[in-house]
Amino acid sequence: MTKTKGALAALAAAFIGLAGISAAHADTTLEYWTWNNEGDYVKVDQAAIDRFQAANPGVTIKVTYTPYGDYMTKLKAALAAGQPPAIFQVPWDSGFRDLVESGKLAPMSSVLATGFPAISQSARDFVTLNGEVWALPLDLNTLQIAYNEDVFAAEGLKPPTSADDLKAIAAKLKADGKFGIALGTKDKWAGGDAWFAQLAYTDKTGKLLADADAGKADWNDPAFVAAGDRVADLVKSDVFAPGANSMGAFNESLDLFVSGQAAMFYPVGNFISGGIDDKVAGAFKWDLFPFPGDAGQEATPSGGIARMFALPKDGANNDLAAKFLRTLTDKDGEAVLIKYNFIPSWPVDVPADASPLYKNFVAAQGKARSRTIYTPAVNAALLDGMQAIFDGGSSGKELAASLAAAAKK
Amino acid sequence: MSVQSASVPSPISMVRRRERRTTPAIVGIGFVAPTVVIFAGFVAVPIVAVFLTSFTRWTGFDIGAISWIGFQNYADLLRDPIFLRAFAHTLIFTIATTVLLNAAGFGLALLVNTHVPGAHFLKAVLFLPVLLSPVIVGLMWSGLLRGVGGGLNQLLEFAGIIHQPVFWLGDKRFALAAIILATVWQFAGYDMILYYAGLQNVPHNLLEAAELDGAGYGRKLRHVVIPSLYHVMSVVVLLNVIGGLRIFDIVYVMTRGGPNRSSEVLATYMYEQGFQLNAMGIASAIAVIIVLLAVVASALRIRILRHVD
Amino acid sequence: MSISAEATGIPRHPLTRASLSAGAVVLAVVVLAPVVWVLSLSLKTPRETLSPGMFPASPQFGNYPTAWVQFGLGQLFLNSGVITVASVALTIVAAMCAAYAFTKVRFRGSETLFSVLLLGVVVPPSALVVPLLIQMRYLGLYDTRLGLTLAYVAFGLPIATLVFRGFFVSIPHEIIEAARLDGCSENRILWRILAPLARGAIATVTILLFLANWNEFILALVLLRDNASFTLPLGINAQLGQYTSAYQLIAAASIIASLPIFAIYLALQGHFERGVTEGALKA
Repeated sequence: MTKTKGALAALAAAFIGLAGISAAHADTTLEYWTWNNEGDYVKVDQAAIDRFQAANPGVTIKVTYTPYGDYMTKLKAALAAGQPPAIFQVPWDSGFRDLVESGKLAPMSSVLATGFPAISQSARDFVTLNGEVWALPLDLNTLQIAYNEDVFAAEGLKPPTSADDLKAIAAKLKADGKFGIALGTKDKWAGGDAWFAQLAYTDKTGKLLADADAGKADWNDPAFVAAGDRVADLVKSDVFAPGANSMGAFNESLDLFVSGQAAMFYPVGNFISGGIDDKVAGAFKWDLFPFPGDAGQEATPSGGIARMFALPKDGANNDLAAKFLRTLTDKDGEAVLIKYNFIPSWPVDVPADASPLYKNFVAAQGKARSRTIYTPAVNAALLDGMQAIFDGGSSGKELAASLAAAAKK
Repeated sequence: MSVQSASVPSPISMVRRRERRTTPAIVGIGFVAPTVVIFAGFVAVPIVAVFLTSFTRWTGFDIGAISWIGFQNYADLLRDPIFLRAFAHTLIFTIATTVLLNAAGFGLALLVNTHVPGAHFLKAVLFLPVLLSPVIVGLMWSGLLRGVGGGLNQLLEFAGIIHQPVFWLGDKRFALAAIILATVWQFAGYDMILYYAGLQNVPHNLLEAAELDGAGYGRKLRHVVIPSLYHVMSVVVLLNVIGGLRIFDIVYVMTRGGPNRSSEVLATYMYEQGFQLNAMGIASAIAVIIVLLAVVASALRIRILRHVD
Repeated sequence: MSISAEATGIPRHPLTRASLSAGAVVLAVVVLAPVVWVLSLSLKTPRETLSPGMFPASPQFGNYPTAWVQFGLGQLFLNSGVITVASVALTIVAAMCAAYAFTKVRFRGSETLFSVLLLGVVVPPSALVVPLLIQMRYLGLYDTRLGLTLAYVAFGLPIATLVFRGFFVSIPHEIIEAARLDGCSENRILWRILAPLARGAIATVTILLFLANWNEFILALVLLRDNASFTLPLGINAQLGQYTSAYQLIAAASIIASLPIFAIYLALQGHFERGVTEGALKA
């Protein structure tokens, strides 16, 4: 008798627990979703949250991190379920176009018109689709190669100015039992960046990528083929550490660099410099150089938007959410971004006492080429094709053909 | 252990036992109602939905934006080389794990059943991996097989077998094999327990008869033990096959299906299509194919069992 | 112990016995090695996780409390516990009712119904997440622990019903007839007469479902969105950063998360093995 009642009571208690503690609260909570739970982004976010909450009593910003690999699944589920977060990071790659076309994002041009700094035109173009702006680009990145200054000095090496230099460096390192560039393509995207880096040199116009993506140029173009062949050549020359396909872009491959086994690491943007510093922890000095082209070619990094944020269509708290985005981008927000080596997506004065690393970032940014393919199938084909190239035994021609095939779908 | 080998219902066949109906049907319906409602609501309806969406083009964001395209998704899949590779990998994975797990499970059960010192320790240890979440097992094996600082390379370097790190999960020759290895490691104990239970039910009189005939170990195994384990074996094989066809977590964590799709399986490809490429119709078609394969496998088992009996 | 141990022959020759023993121990060590490796990883410093060397120079036991606090394992345990216990309890109650009806009450269509139910044994949950998600949305159950619990119940019902049905079939019909003649209600027969007899089957189902639901990942990932309601696998996974991962903390957290199941297993080893066996062999 009592046993049954006890069991029933326990079950009832469990149900009450399950029903969720969504107790009514007079205060407002804004959910803020991002995948950047490491490095200095956390500090930038926290600084903005602290200032925003102090200025807006009763409003709380609740941060939720989801690993990059699961982020789109989670965001997609929330959007499909009609319960999107108030503010959410959106991906810079092909996922962005799908999100825009899903009709789940709020148009942003009217929001960005008041109280925001003047976002630079190239950044604005990046988030503009079908004549409307769909996200706030917060900061920019350029991707370069990090190198271990101590190892370079010990080996008598200098940053390369051409791909041939780079191959010579790799050969010297290999002879001394060290790896060249650590690069991880298990999560695929960094392989794409190795290709974009070459495209900056093989496409002299700088327009080919956008044109091909819009269907106005052929993916079999010699510039695309050559970019793939250049990576294949570098792989063959042992410029990259072996096992790229087994390593996450910023996990295992970064570990190779941090542990001193690889003398270089790619891709490094300002977004990860804090993360690298944390891991290196002063064990050696490191600096950056752009991925080199052919001898005599001006160094041209690839880059784009680092973090961009969207609001849900018809979100109940979009005004408050916009206010938070303004906190991220106001004068104080700008100062915090600069303090942690981030490049705001609007023109800023670089302080005289900024670190050489930061000046390097800003200088590189001016010349950066796009690293985005919007068409999902083509982007997927590029990332697969790069894994094949890093596995050896594939070529630029094969890669270009698969891009063209994917574009036809 | 009470392992009956008598009544074995399955999705396809039913045990046909009649009992006198002494209670109004409404009472029975009342008893099954909670099960039917929950099952229908959260499994049956989604199955029907997946079947229907497999004939549509849909991004998965909005039910309003869905368009009927007939068998187009299936036709596309048949022409999609990545799908065909994923299909082949799924079959390879399923067959390899089923064979290895059964061999390991049966062999280990025989060893444990000798009751020599250490056998029961082995039995306890073998079951530990079964308890772990596949996500944790995937992380564990990713760490063990890492090129730099990974446990396996450390061991092989220590033993002087290799001098350069091997990137097991980044090499198209090893990636799928590594996942098979991790899976066998995790579930060998499961199959062992099932076979061990089966061994406890081998009819004693048959064994005695065989012994009177002067049968040795090998002959007893072949003529008495193995035939009396057919039922257990059919269950173990079916479980392994169904588990193999739907394998997802461990592949997702260890390789994401790479490098260059060399370890892509149906479930990871379905996940990519549905969530990364927003092609929910194609993802649904792959889901339907996985379910059909599982149903075919369980139907086959019944036919084979009937044949053996 | 068991007569049929002779089925495969208890080896009598001492040398055979010794080599079999040695083989068993070696195999046990091989199987344990990955677990030991993770244990060792969980005690390393961040730098040691990157460099060769099997064992940490000095074990960092502090990684465990750090992982507990940093990953919020307390809340994760609570969520996993509530969801697992509730889903297992609900599944058992519903499945016993259904199995009772399928075996002892019989009505037209009951066999067809049971066959359909069994389809659930072969369907992978990952194939159904999207429609399930949309349904949850319209039922107001998206991002609730109740929603995830009901999903677990739904996916657990087929195997649970199967096991209980197998057990109830073995109970003589005369017992039920006699009880009915005594005027017992069906409810009373099920819960007062059959349930106490079915303790073994209940243990079986509990163990099977506990294992499945405690470790489940994909449904939780899609159906829960607020990290306040995350389960353990989800919460640990959320710590994998895009840029860097603290392997030693992830290892420590994984070990902590597995402890309850290890403990239950060690305490109930016999039940556990029988549970898995019966669940599988009735399939």
